[in-house]
Amino acid sequence: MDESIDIDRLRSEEAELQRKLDELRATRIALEQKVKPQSRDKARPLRDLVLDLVQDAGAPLNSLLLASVIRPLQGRTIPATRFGTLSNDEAKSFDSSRARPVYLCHCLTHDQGQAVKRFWARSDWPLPERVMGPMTGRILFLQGAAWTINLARLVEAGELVADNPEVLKYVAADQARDAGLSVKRGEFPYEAWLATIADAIDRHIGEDRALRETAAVVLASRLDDRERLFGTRKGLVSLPGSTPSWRSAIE
Amino acid sequence: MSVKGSTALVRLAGNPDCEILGAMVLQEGSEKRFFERVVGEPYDREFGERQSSKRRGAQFERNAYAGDGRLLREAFAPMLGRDADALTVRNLIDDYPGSKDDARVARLRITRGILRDSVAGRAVPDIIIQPQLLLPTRPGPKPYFFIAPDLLVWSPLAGTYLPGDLKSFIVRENEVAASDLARVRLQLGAQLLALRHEYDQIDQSIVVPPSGMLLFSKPNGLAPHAPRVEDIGGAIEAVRIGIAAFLRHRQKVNDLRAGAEPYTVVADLEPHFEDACLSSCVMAKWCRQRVAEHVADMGDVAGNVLGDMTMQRLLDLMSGSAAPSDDHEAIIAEQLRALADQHDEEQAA
Repeated sequence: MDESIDIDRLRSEEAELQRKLDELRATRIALEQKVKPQSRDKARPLRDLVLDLVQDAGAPLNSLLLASVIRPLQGRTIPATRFGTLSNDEAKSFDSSRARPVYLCHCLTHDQGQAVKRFWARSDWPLPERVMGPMTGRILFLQGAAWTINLARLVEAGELVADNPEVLKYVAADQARDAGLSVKRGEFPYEAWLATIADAIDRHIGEDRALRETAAVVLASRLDDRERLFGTRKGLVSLPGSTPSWRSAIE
Repeated sequence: MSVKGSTALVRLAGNPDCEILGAMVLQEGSEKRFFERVVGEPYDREFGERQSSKRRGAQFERNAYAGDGRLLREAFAPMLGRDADALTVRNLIDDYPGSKDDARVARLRITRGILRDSVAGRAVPDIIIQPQLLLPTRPGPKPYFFIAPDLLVWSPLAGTYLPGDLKSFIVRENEVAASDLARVRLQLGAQLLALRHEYDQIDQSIVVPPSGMLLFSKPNGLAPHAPRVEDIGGAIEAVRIGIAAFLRHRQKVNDLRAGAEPYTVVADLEPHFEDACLSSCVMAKWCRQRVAEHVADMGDVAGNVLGDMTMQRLLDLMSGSAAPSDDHEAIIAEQLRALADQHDEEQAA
């Protein structure tokens, strides 16, 4: 009896601490966004930067998009290979004895639970947020595009400081063009772009959300803690010549 | 040019009699390194694709893949009879980026999974970007070729995926120069053979038709034209001949080298110099030296008409100082003398 009261009390305390942590994080991000980036972000580890950007976007982000946004926003150039190293470092960190409060992790395929390495998320998000169904790639692209366009809008409105606002505008315009929107030289109709993208997201998000939630239940029961963050490691591929009795495509 | 993957097979299909090419494909490392090891000096001539072409190709692909393959979806939607917004795309480079072997193997595993799902009737993407396939050439060194089409596109008509390739050549009205088309057809041929191999492992009754899809760039900007569906039956046969040639060359190289590296036995191999080698192979000049004083040095047409003959023999036949040994040489001698007389008359006039 006493034990169940303790568990309830601990759960309640945990929820309260989580709420306070979320508030604290939101306050910090808001404050940081008002500070000139050169003074704080150029020396920050890429890991922390990505964690914050992903949190700010509220959705998993593609490493290509991250790299193209970090450059004008923080004035840092991230080589493509750096994300591969980051992924390995994060998995090693998870395997080490020193636990971190939050990890950078990947999206998982809805059927196999395999990592989709270019899409970055946070370990403190619910699993359905990180599951990728057949249409999720489109949704995440659109959400990332909307986030980028909104960043450019905030910079133009003076609510956010960017290292290179002009380049950020063009990164936003590229996202709008990739989404199939009309983009004219020198014109940046952020509000109209955001409205059109929101409509496009609405077309697919209901079905996508339902599939992700269903898949997340199955994956949660099937995968261990590590696999839930960095994907399954199953499915070896047999290559010709790897053994004398090779037969091909044995998985 | 590369001597790896489908490019190697395309080159072997183009010149299956060249044993030097077989050794190059077997040798680890780059084509330039092969030249340096054989000749003993650095390769100092122009090499590879123009940087501007590479950049254009990369940008064309980037545009096509962006926005969950929006331009691809729009290009293929009419052909597939579906709304572009309803088509599903899976970019395997998102799943596992990189060009090293571990990334290729990871993408191969995913591609095989999707192919199995498609055969089992489960939901699969309409377009797979950067899938990975493999063509086995076991047993022996280099037991497989990695083959990476730009796309696999689900064909409702065939009930299978078909390979597709993006080409950033500027094409007007979607009409392509025959020389450009021949090469890309061979690429599709290699891709289709690899796809057939993968399907064959799942179910031997599956028939993948000899078709491939090409997506060329429009002249203005980097948007794709409507896809062209190519009948690649001939290209598939050419690639088969190329693979058979590789197996022959590999056997000969192995017999000669006794465990040493393939480049060490090049002097004992037969080159097959052709005009096209000059624009596609680092060893062209070296091979041409090997046919110096032979009619092959005068080009493909001379080689085909005159056969394997020395220049001296040719001169002797023309001057009459040597008697023709057979009917073929008799005709050649007659024709050469006629040409020489005509030339003398023109000179005199």
